[in-house]
Amino acid sequence: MLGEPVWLRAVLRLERAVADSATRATNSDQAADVLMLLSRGNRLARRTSARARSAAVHVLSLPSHRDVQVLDAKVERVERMLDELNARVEERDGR
Amino acid sequence: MTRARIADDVVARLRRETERTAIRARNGLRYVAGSDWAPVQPTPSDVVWRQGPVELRRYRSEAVSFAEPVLMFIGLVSRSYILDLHRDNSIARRLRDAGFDVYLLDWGAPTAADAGNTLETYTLRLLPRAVRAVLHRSARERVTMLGYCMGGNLALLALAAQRLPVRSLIAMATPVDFSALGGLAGAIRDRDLDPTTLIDWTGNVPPQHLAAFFRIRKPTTDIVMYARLWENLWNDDYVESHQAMARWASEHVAFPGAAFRQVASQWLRDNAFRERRLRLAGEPVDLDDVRCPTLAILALGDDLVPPAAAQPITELVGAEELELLELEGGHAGLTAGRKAATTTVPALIEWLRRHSDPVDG
Repeated sequence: MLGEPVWLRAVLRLERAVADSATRATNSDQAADVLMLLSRGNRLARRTSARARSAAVHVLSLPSHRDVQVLDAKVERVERMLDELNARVEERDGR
Repeated sequence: MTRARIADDVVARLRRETERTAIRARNGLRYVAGSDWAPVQPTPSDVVWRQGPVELRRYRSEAVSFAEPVLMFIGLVSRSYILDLHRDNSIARRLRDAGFDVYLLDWGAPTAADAGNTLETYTLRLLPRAVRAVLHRSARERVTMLGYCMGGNLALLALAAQRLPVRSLIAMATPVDFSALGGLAGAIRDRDLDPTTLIDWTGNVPPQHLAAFFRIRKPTTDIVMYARLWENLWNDDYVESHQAMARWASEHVAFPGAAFRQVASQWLRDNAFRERRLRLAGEPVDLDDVRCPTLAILALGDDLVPPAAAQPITELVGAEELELLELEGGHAGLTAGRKAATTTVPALIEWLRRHSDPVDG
């Protein structure tokens, strides 16, 4: 565009020059493999770290962050079930 | 041009650039500090129904001219406020101003408690309930459904699987031939990647995974985005619309694990929409049973849902009155860009007017 400054035009030109090859690279099979590997590694690291932290806190007979998260999820699941039951009762009553 | 005028011109440009750079510095600091230029969902609305994280909003209007309320929603990976993104660029606002009674359904941000949600949860339970809530609120008999992206898939499934009081359907950028999709979808489909590797302890696909896959789809996009932001950082209007769009694009929500497994197996691997092998609750579902007037809109420059993935809808849906609108622009631009304001929305309103009944009296 005419109104664009020189530096912006240069950046856009540079981006256009590398965009195709960068997109090809990040959308390749290898990139998908790397992402899946990273995802697996990330999950493993988080799980290991959470377990280690939980074990340390459990020594002190205290609930860990994960214990609280799991309990929270259980409570929320009960809430969802109540919501669902409520919705079904309303449907049955034609409300 | 005389030398004096050239010198004046240079001085004027220098002065303008200096002023703009000062504003850029101020706005840059405000931006980094997290100031809000653009309010989320700027059009006034009220939550009229909710179940769990799912929320139905009704846009306030004093002049409804059409009998069928419009129920809009998107898919399960992003927030629906893309349809009410910015004060100057909101489909919800434009439809409301055109006389429609507009509702926006948001599936919310699923937590561990929602990990067991399947496609049946959304299409056979939540969506019909939202439709009933709309009809109850508006005291009407039929709605118009508008599904954007995967929202269109949910609408098609819901309409094919059961009788719903729907006057007409609009499916925007909705993929039906999943063999034409690339990125994560392509990797799961072609590489036989185990989708469960993407699911975390909550039982869902975490939003950061989805964000990463969207980002690597076009890795250089951010460079252009930030360069343009710097250039226009002096312009409050630009920063406002940039922030609205950037916030939506980065705000993904967790994908419920059970639904994700179904999508991976049925939609991606079996290409069940295209191959007519859809199933819900163990029963076959045929898109031929979608009989209401249907408008399909696709974006010719859409790299997320390429035209080849969206076009076959015309061969699959059983509606006698079916229109396919092919517009310029990209995926998000179809609903929120400048193109949306000048092409998508006017076309949408024109079609909706033709397929809605005027309010009596």
